[in-house]
Amino acid sequence: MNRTVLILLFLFCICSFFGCVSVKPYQKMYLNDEDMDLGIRKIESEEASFESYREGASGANGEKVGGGCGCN
Amino acid sequence: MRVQLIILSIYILFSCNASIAQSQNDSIVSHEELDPATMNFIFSYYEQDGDHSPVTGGVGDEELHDYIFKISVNVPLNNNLSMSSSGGVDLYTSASTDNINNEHDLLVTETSASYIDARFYGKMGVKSKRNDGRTTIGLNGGFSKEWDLGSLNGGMYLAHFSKDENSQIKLRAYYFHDKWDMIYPEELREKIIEPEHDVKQLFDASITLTQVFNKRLKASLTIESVYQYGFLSTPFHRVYFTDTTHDIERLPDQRFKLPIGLYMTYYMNDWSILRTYYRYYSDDFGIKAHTVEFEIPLKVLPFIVVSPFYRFHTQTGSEYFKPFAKHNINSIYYSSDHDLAPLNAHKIGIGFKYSPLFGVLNKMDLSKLTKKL
Repeated sequence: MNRTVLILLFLFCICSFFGCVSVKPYQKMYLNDEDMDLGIRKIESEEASFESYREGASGANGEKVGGGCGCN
Repeated sequence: MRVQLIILSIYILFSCNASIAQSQNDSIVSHEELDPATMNFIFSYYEQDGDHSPVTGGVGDEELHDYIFKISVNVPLNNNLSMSSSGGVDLYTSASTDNINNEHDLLVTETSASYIDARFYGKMGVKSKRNDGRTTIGLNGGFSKEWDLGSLNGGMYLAHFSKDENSQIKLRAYYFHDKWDMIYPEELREKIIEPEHDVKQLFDASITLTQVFNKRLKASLTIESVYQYGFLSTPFHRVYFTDTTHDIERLPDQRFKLPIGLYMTYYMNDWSILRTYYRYYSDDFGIKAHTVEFEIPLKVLPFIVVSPFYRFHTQTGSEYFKPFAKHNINSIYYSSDHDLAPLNAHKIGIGFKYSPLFGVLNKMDLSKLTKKL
């Protein structure tokens, strides 16, 4: 478990520091596209709740990880 | 285990200019227009089948129909401060909870209190930006109430952009307090050994790093830690032992979860985008899980986006899970809830988004209509 965390963090940091270029605000036309947003869209939040009830795993997607019964 | 799920969601965004702030001195008149106030309407319909209901010990009908109505409003108060609130109701029928009072005749549909039910929820939040626009602090709190459980929650977050706004770090912390009405299966109510707690608490902390890599690629990494404490079972879930006796589900009163999620979006060309997600999950119930998701929004017309997607989830089972009538009566902890079972899940579908530039009512405020199948 700890190894997976470290590997993901390490890769992300390496890519962040060495693999990226500075993008100016006026160059962010593509990045600002609505479908480029990172994370769950508003319309998907209910779907994510159902998945967390049906599966043993949840979290790390910007959605809530607790509260409520979800016992159906 | 096989459960089929169908979900249909419709999302409408309503926006209008909140106000215009004006300041004046002897020589200068300036006008600052605030971001528009927005109102979101979401309707979702969810349906599932399945025959592994934990209410009846891991066998029995799981049919569920859920109608979800949700409204959220975001109002900017000035350039640095905004408030938001949301609320909604879920109306659902559940074949599994209908069997809380009905151990033996699983094919009979009762019309007990749990056959048709509602869940109400609300949330309020405030968000403040510093003058340089790079740091945001948010506070929020909410509640939910359903027939067997009341929940309160509160949280805060802090987000900070780098100077060039290509990197962001976000810290988030949440607390949930859930109070159960301890409703046991009817035949066990007189002889149950009462659990120690009727409350479950959850502490959640996460850190998210977001990075722009180039003009077409960005990604975020979230590391979250979740600690739960209290009554983590469900009081009306039955567990049958090998000797045919049964009890309610019993689980440890602590659980630690560690999910790690990685989002990446790539603007492939003017008509297609690649969205990907990977999550690794581990907890001390013995579950390890991997989830991957791919979505390719295709801009078939300037105002129509069609998004095919695929999601795969795999997990190992919890050490406390065994199927119907497989548990040993001498065990301390036991569950037949198939959420804790080893499983592979595939989800495939297509999303449809219609968002004309000037709104569906031609330059009116109703600006987005999204439908997902």
